Amino acid sequence: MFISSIVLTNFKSYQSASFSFSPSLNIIHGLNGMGKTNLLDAIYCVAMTKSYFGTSDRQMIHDGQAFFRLESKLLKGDEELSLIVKYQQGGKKTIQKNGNAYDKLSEHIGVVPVVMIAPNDLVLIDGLNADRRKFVDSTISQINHSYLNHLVLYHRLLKQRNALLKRFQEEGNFDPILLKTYDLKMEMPAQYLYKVRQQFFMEFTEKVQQQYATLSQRRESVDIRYVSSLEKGDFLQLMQDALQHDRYAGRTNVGPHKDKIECKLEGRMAKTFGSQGQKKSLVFAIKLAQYEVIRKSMSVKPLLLLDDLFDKLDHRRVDQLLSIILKGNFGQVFVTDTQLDRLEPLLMDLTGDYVEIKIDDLHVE
Amino acid sequence: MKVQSKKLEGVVNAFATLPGIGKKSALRIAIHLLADNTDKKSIFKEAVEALEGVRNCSCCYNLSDEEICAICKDPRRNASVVCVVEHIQDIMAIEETGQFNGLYHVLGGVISPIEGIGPDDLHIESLLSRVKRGNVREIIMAVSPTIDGETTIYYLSQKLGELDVSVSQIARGVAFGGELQYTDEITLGRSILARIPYAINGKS
Repeated sequence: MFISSIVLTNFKSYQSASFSFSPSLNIIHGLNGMGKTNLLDAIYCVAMTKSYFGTSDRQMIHDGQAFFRLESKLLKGDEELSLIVKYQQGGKKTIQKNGNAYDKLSEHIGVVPVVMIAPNDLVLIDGLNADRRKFVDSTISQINHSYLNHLVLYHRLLKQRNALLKRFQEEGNFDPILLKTYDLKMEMPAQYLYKVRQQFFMEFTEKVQQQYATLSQRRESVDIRYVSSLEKGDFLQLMQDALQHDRYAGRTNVGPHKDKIECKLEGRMAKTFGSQGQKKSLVFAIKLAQYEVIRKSMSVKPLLLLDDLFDKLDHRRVDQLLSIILKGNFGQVFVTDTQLDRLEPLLMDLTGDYVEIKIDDLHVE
Repeated sequence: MKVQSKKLEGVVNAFATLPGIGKKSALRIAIHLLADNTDKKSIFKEAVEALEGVRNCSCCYNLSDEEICAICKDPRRNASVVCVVEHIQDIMAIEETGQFNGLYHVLGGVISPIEGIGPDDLHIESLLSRVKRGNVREIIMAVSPTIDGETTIYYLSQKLGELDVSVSQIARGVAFGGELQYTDEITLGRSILARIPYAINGKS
């Protein structure tokens, strides 16, 4: 599957621009601040309905304009897809697939599988568990639609339960039956999320280990562990046990929204003990594992978006990463870089076709 | 749009607060009434004033001109079955079907702590005391199949579980005349789980 073209209107730094892509490798180069990352984000938005960087819909509109629009054409097997993302300030964002708008944007997740690697991905190691959960949720949601529905249901009920606990606190009263109602309603989605996450990690951890071994060419061991409060017992019992704590804190303290994902190198927390180089390799291994899991379960090669991958890396590492990308079994790949010269020698050896896209101030080639 | 008369502007602003009426429609109505020389204005005035007399039925919270509404008072209706709905409009919709001969109970919404709506803000206590009084044998939950609607049903059935009454819920499934392939997966999944025995000539 690949995206053949995209037209950007009032999207981030672009007022109006259109691009055509190669089904294999696309090199996007140009100076800093010209919009290379924004072009990748536009592609990501067409696939995942929102910005990779957490930019709000409003902030994605070009300065001084009232709307943005992304229009793209894709080929998925024999099927031609036309996807249009539209957002008007104050309105609702819509996505049209072949002319029909989705009722819910979440229905679109998984139609265009995608994996993006960007410099801020180090949060997967250095950030909070919430960042890692977000990554896991977005990965599983792409391959399992039911997961996303359960996730939405669980979080909606969790929000209501927390609001209820706050209300009890403020009003100094308590309704055990109403609170229990939320526990009972949350049990099914909670158990489901736990079970699916558990299954996911059985495969995922092994894949990360494989990828890390080839990447680092070192012997250090890496481990990714999923730790859930639900391991300790039955969800309803756990909720019952945490009741006093919940009432005191005014929020829910156990459940899948508190699940942890631990990344370890040589048995020690990567966050604290890993070097910058090790962390970068680990992030890359995690992303390649994500790619593998999605490819395997959907039998489709996801789009691979690589933003500024070679930044701050020495020549040897750039060569190594590039050869992985070029020789790997990937589908359509997008690479951004400020320096074309360091890529060119390697591209000379490349047999397949590729497209160079130069982005600068005045025009787009 | 600038209106040159303060009085007219007041009327326009008042109309524009109504649901479905924007500023332009409000102005159109106001100018129409202004130019009208029949007794339309006084008919409207009386009609709106008469709203003061409309109240909620003290038993089921349906709209009524009297203490007890026409449905609750009707001796031909089956008082042992009570259908629980969110809004008054839901009663009108169910009455349209002509399929229900019992009584109603209007909750006035669904439980949603985020919006600050708890059980005490709804007509739940009065439903429980209706059941406690004894002649209700079945409660039919006809609440919207949303997350908050389902939670409310769950809560109510726990409360009613302590009492001697059976609780049922309206069926959810594929719309009549609808095509299966266009039905969303949740609805379709549910209708398969909650399938019913096939009846030939009404006999199963």
